Amino acid sequence: MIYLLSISIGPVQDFITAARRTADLYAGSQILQELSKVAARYLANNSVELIFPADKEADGANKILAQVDGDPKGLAEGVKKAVREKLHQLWKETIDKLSQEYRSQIDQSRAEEQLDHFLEFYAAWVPLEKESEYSSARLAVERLLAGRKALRDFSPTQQNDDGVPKSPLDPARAAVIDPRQWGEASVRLEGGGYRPLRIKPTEYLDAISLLKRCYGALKSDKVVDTHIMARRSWQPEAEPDERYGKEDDHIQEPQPYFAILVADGDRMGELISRQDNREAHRQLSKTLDEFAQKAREIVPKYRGFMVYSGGDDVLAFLPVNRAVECAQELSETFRHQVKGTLSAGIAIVHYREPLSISLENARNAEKAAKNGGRNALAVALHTRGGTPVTVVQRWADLIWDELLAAYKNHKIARGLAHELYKLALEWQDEMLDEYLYKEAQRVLARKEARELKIPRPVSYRKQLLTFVEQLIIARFLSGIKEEETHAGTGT
Amino acid sequence: MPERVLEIHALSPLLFRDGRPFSAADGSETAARSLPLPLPSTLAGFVRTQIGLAMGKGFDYEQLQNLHGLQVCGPLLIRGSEILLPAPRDAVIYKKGDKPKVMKLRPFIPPEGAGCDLPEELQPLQVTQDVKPESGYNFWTAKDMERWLLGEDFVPEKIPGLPTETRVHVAMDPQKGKAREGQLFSVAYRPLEMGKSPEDYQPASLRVRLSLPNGQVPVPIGHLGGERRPVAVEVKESLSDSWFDCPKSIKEHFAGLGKGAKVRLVLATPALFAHGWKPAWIEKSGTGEFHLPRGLSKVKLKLVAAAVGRREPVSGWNLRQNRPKAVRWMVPAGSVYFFEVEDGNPADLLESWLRPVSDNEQDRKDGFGLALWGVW
Repeated sequence: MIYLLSISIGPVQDFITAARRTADLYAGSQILQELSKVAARYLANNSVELIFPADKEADGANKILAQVDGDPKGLAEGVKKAVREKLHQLWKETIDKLSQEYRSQIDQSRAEEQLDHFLEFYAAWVPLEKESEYSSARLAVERLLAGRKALRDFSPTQQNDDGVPKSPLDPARAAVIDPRQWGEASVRLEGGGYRPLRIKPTEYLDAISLLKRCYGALKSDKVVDTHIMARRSWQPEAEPDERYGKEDDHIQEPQPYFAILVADGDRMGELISRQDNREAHRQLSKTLDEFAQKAREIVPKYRGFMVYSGGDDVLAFLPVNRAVECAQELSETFRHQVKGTLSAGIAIVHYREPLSISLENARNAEKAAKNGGRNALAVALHTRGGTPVTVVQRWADLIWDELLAAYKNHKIARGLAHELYKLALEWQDEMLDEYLYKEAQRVLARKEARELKIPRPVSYRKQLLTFVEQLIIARFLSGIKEEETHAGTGT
Repeated sequence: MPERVLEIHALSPLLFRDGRPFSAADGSETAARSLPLPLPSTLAGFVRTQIGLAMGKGFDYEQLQNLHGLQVCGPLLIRGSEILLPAPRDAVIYKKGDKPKVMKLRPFIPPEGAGCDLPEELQPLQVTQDVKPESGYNFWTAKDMERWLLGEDFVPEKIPGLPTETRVHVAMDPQKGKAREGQLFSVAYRPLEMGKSPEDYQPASLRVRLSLPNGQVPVPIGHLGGERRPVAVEVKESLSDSWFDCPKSIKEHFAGLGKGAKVRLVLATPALFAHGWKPAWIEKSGTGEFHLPRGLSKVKLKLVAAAVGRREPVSGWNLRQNRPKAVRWMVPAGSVYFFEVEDGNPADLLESWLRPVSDNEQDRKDGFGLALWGVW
């Protein structure tokens, strides 16, 4: 009997975004990918035909769809076991890189308990009697999986943690180390040498967070952290090695900002539904994997760092002044390769802001792009202490280039935005739009960038405010080098 | 001891800590986030403190034991004077075109050959639409909840819950009298007010129900939650106007049910169960055993399906020993359990209406797992 088997491995959120450092974040996404590959390989080795991902070595699929000849329940159990074992194996391999002195300080039984309870695994299957029923069978199996996931079953936890501080990443887990003793801890690298974990005395890490920290340190030659990313807006060549072992050095305002880009394809569910046979669906999986691979080439071109790229999902860090261009190229590539549209969110955030909050800002920006009608880019500015500002535009209507150029060439300074903002705020709704437009033009005429196009009046006050918000954001996106003192006065 | 309802009004935005360590110190979390509502135990602890203060006998061991034994049911979120309840997890709100729609999740037996990896041969819930759930439908009015429990089809009012107000603070250097370099921290508070825009904001409050020992009135001003934020406590005189008593319609419906009836349990506050996601009392239901939640010893239930969200942690700080408490995993509020009545009178289940159904007695006294009952 032939079946379609659908599997979902999680928790994605906990794997990827529960992170304090870029290295943790990267480690989480890599570990999730390793586990997903174990699942895909297990199925492939049991003569199962993979549909999504099409290739067992494809990155980034925490979801698997496959065609099974035989016992789907047994296979699902086998996959679950293989994935669990892999997590324990990763833990062992990674922790082994610590010296015996530190290894012996880990509360191993609590760590085992946390590893045992960490993974979420859900599976559903339906019979596929005829190839012509592929489309409906696929729909049925995904709905069944969604219905199964309504119950997030868990067993009670026995962490034996009375008096033990909880993990700052997930307070559902208690610390397995006393960080006050771990200031000097380091991991042994493959090619010899050591790399410090830089655990601060308040970082009460649980097993999953400790695994990510050690795993991330082992790969830290690849990881570009938020600090370096902020620097890259004016020092594009900055590399992570330069600050190996160094503590955070301070970056002066207004430069300590970097961009987080989150993107994914629009209406992917509908696109998948249109594939009426297995081969077409496999082809789509391949196309998505090709896009993910392309994306991994595009991001570094803009001096960015790809945290996660799988299927239609992209999560990347970028220098502020390259983020919009990079998003545009990703959108173009997606349009050409996948024949679909992409929605992206860019959050401009401070490099010292807790990463979990900055990531949430980026996800919210992406949501704003989706809510703004999809096929769009949302840019959100989160300064420290200021009110967040978000501007959403369709890809076709983006007008960032002009504004960025004006800032870069010192044709405008921050004063313009604030002057227009004040004007729009003071304007009464019953006063004529045309007058406001004229007044805005008068303000602009005094600046060097007097040819800048400001929108024509139609419920003008609101439009002007959006334009002003864009101006405020553009100043950051232009990668300001220093506070402008005299630009924009036209003198 | 007659029961009373206490209403808690915030005198400034509140912080309901989520268990993450938090301080302005370098290297630790520098942003405190707030839960959408305080945990039942937080409110129970607060109410007991206010009563203990009013008794004026101090907090020695015996007094603490007595206060701990006080059953506190809550919290319920109140908007103006309207009772709000956490959204049930068997309702999926989605958009079709511009219109919100509701998908009702119900247990079903998959067709021959199809299956999934649910534990204990439970039935999955039937998904009939391929949609992304709309966000913002986090709380339902008591009226909407009543209709939902009776199985009606309708779109509930969209109520996101308490807003978040993030304030950024600086750490001061007491010697120099200025802010310390780089030591910013932010706190996301929950102001107790709700509305679409500042013009139509309505005050919100929290209610709990309890028996006041010897008619004691709690001290009217106290501190609730993180960062010692001040609140005022008001004793509501009229019990039935201030609490969501089991509606007549549900009583009548249950009165007509018998063996084989399909009933649904919706949790109005998070619950703690001995088997993690699954209540341990299911096995003992209908056996007449003591120490079960109200009504459940009289009615034998068989679990058919469940819609349970991801586990949520509860730990906290042990003030007496000045150290963290052990963490436990709760079933989130709004989780739904689908049962079949195997024996007994289903109407007896309503004895536990907005009463706690957690497994452990102290957890019940703290208000974990307040039950709402409906049919399917």
